[in-house]
Amino acid sequence: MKSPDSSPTKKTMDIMASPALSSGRFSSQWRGIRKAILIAGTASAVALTSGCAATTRTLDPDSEQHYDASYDFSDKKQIVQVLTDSLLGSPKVLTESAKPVVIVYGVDNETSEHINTGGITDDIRLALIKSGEYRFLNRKQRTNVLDEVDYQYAGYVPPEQRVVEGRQLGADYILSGTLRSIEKKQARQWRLNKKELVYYSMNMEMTDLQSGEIIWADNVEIAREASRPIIGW
Amino acid sequence: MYRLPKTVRALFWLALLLTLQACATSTSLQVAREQFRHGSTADALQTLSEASVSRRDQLLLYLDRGMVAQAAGQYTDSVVAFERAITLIDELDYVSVRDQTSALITNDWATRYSGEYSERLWIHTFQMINFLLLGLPEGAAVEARRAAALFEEQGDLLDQDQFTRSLIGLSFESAGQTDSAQVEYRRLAEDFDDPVPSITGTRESELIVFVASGFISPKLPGDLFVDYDVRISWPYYAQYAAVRPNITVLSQGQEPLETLRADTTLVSISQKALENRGKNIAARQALRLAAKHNIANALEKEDAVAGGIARLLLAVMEQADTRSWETLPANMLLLRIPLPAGEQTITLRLNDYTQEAGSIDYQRTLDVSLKPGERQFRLIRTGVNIN
Repeated sequence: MKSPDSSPTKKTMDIMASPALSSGRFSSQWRGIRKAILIAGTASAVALTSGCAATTRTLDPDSEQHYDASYDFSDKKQIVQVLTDSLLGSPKVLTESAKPVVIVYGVDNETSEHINTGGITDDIRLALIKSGEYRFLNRKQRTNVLDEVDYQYAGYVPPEQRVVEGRQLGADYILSGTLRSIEKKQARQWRLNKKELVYYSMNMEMTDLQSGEIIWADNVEIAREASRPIIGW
Repeated sequence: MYRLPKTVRALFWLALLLTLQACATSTSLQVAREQFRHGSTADALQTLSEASVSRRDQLLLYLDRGMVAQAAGQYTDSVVAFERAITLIDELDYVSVRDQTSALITNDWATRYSGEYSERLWIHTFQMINFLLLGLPEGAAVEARRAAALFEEQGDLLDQDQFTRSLIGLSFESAGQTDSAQVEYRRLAEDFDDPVPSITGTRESELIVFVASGFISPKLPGDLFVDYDVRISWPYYAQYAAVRPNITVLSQGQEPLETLRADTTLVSISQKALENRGKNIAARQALRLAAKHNIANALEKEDAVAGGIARLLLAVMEQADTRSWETLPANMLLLRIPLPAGEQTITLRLNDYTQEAGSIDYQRTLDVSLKPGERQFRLIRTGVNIN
């Protein structure tokens, strides 16, 4: 049979009756500890909730921002800037004719990422149009243009308001290009982080429709290395 | 205040761990997979769209969504699901301290599933099919490059996948990247004695049919009790009889048509990929057994009965991680059918064999209208929704 002196209840009662507790010294120490825990807990809760709160901030599109090695908007801006400057500064194209007429045939994506290369050509076209030195044909709208002309000539639009057929501009040059990439990842081995190297090459060219000659060509190269830890939570 | 003895508290936590460590794929995934196997593709899509799975099975949800959406003809949704899977695999490419710690005292089910190398390859395979069916060959070429990178990294495991390698060449060819296509076709010719398709000069009209038949075998758990409290458990694929599906393509006049074919029995590749991980699985098991042994010993010193119960609980927790992408087909077949331009009807007769259903005969009639030099793509998934 268990001795009554060793029961948990007895032990508790002994603690409660101890001189330290009854003198108030224990309770003031305990209040101090509780206060410290409360302050630390509140501070942690505030830190956690503020750290976990969703935030948004506006970025300057011209600033360079990279989160990893893959293609991003900063790369697009760099590509467009370099190629536009090169085209505008090219003496060969400007001297051939006053305000050459250009049609864009797009940039082929030969990378390992799904990149919308239309964004590159759209921005280049916009910059060249704004410069006032080039004219562009709208290849994407050709079907819509034909539909609209057919509609006008179907009797719905009075003759004086119809567009005159056979007046579309003919292109002098084709603008086209290719975006390629080479990727390398560090081999598997014991280390604390893993690196990835990506190289992009954007080649663009202007082809004379009459002669087939490439009268302008330039390229932009971008190389970036990104590393991330291989151990995480 | 009365406190429970340390040993009882320890047993409580172990029992709780055992309960929480549900060693099974999320229920909603299992339901969706059963619906898909029984041909209820629409129901499976509905279940998957509403499914809530644990973070450990998130990848499997995306993979199943992608596969079922593709079978239902929803190729854009399939692209989105597979792209999420690719992003998640990239995000999971690190050693998680939380997962590894949890797995050390329970089992590998505690870790987030990140896919076998074979499954990672097939995400790109089915993405290539999606993009070709959507008329976006450039997107297919992007996926082809991603798949090619995997072959470069894990060629020993994956190089027998003739279907995917042929599809890579076809994707490059369709995107006009003939140099890359030539390289792939030459490699195929060397490894499989395949005739190299002619991709220069005038191209004749062609119908490409992708045939996905059956369902891949699931992983099974192997168990070995070395002692009453020492259990070794490992995942494996059952031995299978690799039976190549027989397929005949008939013209409108029921004449057999010449075709080029490339096929793969997926489980053979999966088996190789899993065996390659065997050493890692065994090493983790050894660490786990040592950790569990120490925990049980520590408890036994306090209380012999508690220690014994702990040993049993820890042994019960030792279960093989048999998660896998179970909506994959058993066989993939790529058929290149040269056809004259114009409208015609062709018939495909497929004789397949699966271990569950035995021999299956399947016939499908396709109405085709081809312009000169045009190439069209079709996908047939036998046993489920017909496209």
